[in-house]
Amino acid sequence: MPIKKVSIIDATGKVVFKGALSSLKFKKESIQKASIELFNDDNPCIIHESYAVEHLASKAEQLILSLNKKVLLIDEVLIQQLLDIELAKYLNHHLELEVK
Amino acid sequence: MMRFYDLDHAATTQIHPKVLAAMMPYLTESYGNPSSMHTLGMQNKKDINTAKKHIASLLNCDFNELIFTGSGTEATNLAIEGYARKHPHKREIITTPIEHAATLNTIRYLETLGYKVHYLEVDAMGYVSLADLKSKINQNTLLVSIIWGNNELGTIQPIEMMTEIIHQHGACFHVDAVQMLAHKPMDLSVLNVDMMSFSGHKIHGPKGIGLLYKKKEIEIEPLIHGGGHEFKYRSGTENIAGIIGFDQALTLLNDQYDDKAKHLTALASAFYHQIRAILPIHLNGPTLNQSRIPGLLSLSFEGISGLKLQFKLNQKQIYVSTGSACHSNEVGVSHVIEAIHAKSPEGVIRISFGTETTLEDIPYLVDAFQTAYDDLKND
Repeated sequence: MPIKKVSIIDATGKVVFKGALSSLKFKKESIQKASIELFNDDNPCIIHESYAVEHLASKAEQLILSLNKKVLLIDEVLIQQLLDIELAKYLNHHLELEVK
Repeated sequence: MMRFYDLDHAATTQIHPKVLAAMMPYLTESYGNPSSMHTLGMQNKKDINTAKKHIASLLNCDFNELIFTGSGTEATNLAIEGYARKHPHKREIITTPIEHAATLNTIRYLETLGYKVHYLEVDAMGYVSLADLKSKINQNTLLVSIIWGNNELGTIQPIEMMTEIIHQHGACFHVDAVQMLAHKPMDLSVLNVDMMSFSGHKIHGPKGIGLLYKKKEIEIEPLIHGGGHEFKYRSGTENIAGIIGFDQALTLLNDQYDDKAKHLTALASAFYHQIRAILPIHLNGPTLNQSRIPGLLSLSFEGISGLKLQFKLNQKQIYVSTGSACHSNEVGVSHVIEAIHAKSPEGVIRISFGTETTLEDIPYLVDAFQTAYDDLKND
């Protein structure tokens, strides 16, 4: 994955999250949807669920990379674009990429 | 279609074209019920018996010692539970903590019925302690069930030595040989075990067909009642295409055991030595020089998640298994990996090569593993 890590930075410059994209919180309904897409499994076991998260993270990564920026403002547009990730609480924070 | 690398042959194998060709008539025009007393059925009955006699000749046992089932799991269930039901006076069972779920969960079920279960100690390589077997076996031991070639580690148990100990105490010996059949020709007359389970889809045969060898003098109760098929041990209209496929798959394999083992051993050795030189890994199970399933490697990758590595490899069309298991609502470590106290248990990947992989593929595969590992390590 070209994105090694992402950091979420608040208005004061404090890092409130740092880690793999897949470590961000993904929406339950998105995980379930991905699980249905991948396995047609409405009630995924934890292994299927983990795989679904990796799948969603991979899709999110493609999208983020296509924006061609190393730092992104988490605004309404980005929240809508990355709908599978619970980003609303980070509104007006910045998403910084550590790219390989 | 993009090329993929199937490094998961311990999970299942692709059906061989010759196997499929042999099966096709029974999925199309030769559809008769083998119990029917007309040409369409009688010919199928004859073909089933011919296939079974041929399998018996390959395994060196009697035709009437073979029972077809719907899977290896069903064969194991029939062996263990069927034997327990027939011999209710003995209430102790011996097994290991590294069995396949088919064995473990059948025995756990019997435990709920009041059976006392002893789990034998295994060492860090997955070898069962014979001393522990000797100390735990007694006159109340009903049955001992052991996996011959471990599906996660590749450890091959010395079942010949176990057979002697078990029979000295008058207990029955069931062996799960689902993995081993793919790697070792069987001579059941020499092995002298009482029951042995097999499966078709691990040997490039079809899914949905299993086989239980049961020595003539061993008595079991059927678990499925009905029309009395398979010498009354497993009722249900025969899966004739599956039976024919099993026979064909075993026939093809029988001529290739030596070459296959050499090839898979060379692949595993090349892969292991190349990857060990560049990545911090630990080989679980026996060393490469010990008794192990050819082509099967259980590797612990330090500092990463096996599940994530599997995901990354899948994106590169490299298909492997992990040492992970579902533990209620968290990803846990498989019972086998746990039992041997493997290093970096969360980073376990099982690679099981097949004959379509070549030595020329190894550098590419090693490179792909390294890239995937580096990506994860830097996360």
